[in-house]
Amino acid sequence: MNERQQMINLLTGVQSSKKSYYTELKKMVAELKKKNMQLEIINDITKSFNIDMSMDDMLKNTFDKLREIFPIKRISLSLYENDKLTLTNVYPFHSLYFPIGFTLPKERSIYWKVIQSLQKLFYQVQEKEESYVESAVYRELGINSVLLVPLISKGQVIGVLSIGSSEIVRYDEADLSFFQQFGDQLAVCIENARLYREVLVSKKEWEETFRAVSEMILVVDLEGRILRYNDAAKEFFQIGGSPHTRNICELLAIEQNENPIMENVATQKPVYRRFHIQQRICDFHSYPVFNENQSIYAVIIYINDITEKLQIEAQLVQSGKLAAIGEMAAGIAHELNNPLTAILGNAQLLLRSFPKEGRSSTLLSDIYSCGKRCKAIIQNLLTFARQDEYRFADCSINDAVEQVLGLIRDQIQKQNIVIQVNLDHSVEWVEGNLQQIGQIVLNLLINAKDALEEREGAEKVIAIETKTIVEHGSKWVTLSVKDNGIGIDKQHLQEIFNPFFTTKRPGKGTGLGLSVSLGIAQAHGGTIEAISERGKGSEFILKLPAKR
Amino acid sequence: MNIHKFMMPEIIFGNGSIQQVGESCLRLGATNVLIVSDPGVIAAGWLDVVIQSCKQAGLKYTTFSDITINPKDEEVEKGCRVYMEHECDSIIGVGGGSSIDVAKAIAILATNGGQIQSYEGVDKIHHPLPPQVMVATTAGSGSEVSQFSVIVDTKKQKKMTIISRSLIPDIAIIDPETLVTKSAELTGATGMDVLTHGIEAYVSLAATPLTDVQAKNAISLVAEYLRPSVASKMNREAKTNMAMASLQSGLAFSNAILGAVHAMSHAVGGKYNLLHGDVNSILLPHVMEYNLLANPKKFADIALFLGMDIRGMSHMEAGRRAIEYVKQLTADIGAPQRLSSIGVEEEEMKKMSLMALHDACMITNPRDVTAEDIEEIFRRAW
Repeated sequence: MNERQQMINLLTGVQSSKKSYYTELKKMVAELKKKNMQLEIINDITKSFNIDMSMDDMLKNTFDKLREIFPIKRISLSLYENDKLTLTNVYPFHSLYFPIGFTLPKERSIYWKVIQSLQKLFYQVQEKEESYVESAVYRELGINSVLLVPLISKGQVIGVLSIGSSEIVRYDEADLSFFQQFGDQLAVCIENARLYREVLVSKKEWEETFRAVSEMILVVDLEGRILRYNDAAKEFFQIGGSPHTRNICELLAIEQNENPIMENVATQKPVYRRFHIQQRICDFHSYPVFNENQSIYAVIIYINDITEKLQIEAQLVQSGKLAAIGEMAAGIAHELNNPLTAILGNAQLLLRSFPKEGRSSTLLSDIYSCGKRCKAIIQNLLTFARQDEYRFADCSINDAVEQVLGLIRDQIQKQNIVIQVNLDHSVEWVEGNLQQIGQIVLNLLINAKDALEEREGAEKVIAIETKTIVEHGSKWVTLSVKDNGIGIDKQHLQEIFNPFFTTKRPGKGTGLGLSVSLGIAQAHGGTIEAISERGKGSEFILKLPAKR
Repeated sequence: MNIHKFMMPEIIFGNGSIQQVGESCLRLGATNVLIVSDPGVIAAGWLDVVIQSCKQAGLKYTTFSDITINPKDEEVEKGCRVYMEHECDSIIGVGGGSSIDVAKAIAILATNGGQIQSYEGVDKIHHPLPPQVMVATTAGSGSEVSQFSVIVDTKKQKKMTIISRSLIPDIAIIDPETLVTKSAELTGATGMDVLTHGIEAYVSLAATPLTDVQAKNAISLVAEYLRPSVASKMNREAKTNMAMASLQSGLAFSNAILGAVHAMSHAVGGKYNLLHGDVNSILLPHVMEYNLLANPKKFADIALFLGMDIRGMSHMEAGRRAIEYVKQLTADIGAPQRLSSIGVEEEEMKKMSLMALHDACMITNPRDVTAEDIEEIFRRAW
């Protein structure tokens, strides 16, 4: 009967009323608000990766928003790596029990349980319960229920999120699925941030490497526009401001049609060239860079300034050669000295026993003076060949000229070349090595002679002049060697000092003379200048600082 | 029972009140109305009147009228699709019980979704329904003021009764003028339905003083005006009073619920496509005979309301007189008096009895009933 009465009550609706749209609307608005907030949270997490927000800020942000829809009190994040579970972030910051960085023990840990089961877990904190190490933490912090969400990224568990509340929260299906989504998003974010950092570090390493290389490295596009460059390139080419407006052809001082990048594009292979850039000799390598479609989109250029290396090489060759000649000369001189002593001694004895005005006496005098000359030549040869003694001392450039002329004057004059010597006898002293300076003079004279050799007709003249000049407030000693030979092409004038550069026939020149000479001049604090015009002649001026 | 509850919609009653339907919807915030009617209503021209009123109020509207006498779940689902497709936001039901019950059922699905079967029973509706304005064009069903909707489950071949406070329409419009178009047969059937509502509500276990007043008035009005109403379409006084009788019986049974007559007639209606009023009027005297024992005083009251002189009679005696009166009234208006005469088959009775036993209306029946009892009543009425 009671049941029937209940049914009647149901039918007549004593305990029910018509549904109201107002309450329905309120419920719906509340639900929408919750949904919106949830979306906002998910959205925030997705966004924050882009703006590189720290995990602490991110937790704070989401915590504030979560609080508007769930009565939560604390949120903590522990990350799992290398079989270790570490507490990494907690918000609010003061709700700490274990310190940040604390490694959670595997035994009796509810966090570990979640990591191992990969399942969400709702845990209601019981009084005086000690089944988990975390229980005490929650009691201490006044947390009565916790929702634990595993963070899973690409099928791998990377941590656990703990959402604590002072109340016993009743999460419904929709809430749980939101938290799963929240956890998944967070996991993706954490993973992405980690990968991003990794990429950033390795990118930085490569950039540092790129910068640290002492050779020049540039990246250019197919038009030759400079995209990137390292410090060495920046210094050498004086690149600054907006490098994109500069072109590799402009830097190399070449025409567009000589552009090696075009060869890269055509052959799809690396290209090697040697360029003279800003009076330096550079090895040029360019490597094509391919994109996923296997088409070239850029070229890496590697430039190595080998000027110094070549100069050293040249000097080594030259001094090796000189050393060999010197040794040989010393040996020959020694061998010749004894017979010469005998020739000179005997000629002297014979001269005494013959009347002065007689044919024999004249012949003997000739023998004697020629022997004397031989001895002088041998002496000069010995002095010159002693290249190993590069001691600096006060010396006169005039002496160097005399010494060299003593060696090769005859040779030059035999070619019908007039040598005009105009030495300033009051020329200042220089501090240097007489043999080395002599070597410069020798090289300049040989070059002048060779230039005249190829010339037909007219009088061939080599003019040698020494003097002291004042430039920029300091005194310089100069030696000018001037010829009226064939001259030098304008385009070669820049290159004549480069090692191994020569216009002479093979076997005649090594291309070392001028480069070694310049090297010596620079070692003495001086320079060599060249003035030349094709068909008219050349003048080389050695400038050395005068001794103070 | 110490605690009562009485619920009713806003009611607009009177000749020409049908014109108010558009304005009424507008007041409820409607902008796009689904108007549910049936072919009979359309033929009588009442749908046009409603459309006109909606147009005047500046409402957008869509019509739906694929409805049979005992409305089916499929029709409800179809109506709901129309509601959704046209993005309606309110419902008007124009017609008798069928149109209004379908309108209510569409309202349920519109905001609660799912299938209408899942709302069968008491208080199964969880979300508020769209604004509903019901225009009753037949005196009888009371559906325009009730918390009921009866829909046929075509698979189970059974009427489902949906009961919920939310089914009480927001506004009910009763315009007696709409009754003039009804045929004598329909007037008779619906009139007997009104009487059944009044009597069942009055003797119901859930009757309260508030429902008793309504039931009493309804019974008296039927006794006085049903005969003239059946007799002439032009008798305005009779029509107006029958409309009032229908309204009051509706208010009575909506709050006091019904009894065995309705439980049984639901079972018959689920199987046969018959006029609800006809089945009720056949069953009513037999159920009254059975129920007399449960509350002779109330049955004696009924005889009084019917205008009989019961002075000096015992309650039982007076009650029997009331039963005779009902039988006589049925005969007078020419309504069918035997189930066999309207095509109900004897072999279905057992099944229908079981079905009736579990009908919600049976709960408030004053006398305890078993399946055998019901079968016995069916046989007497056959």
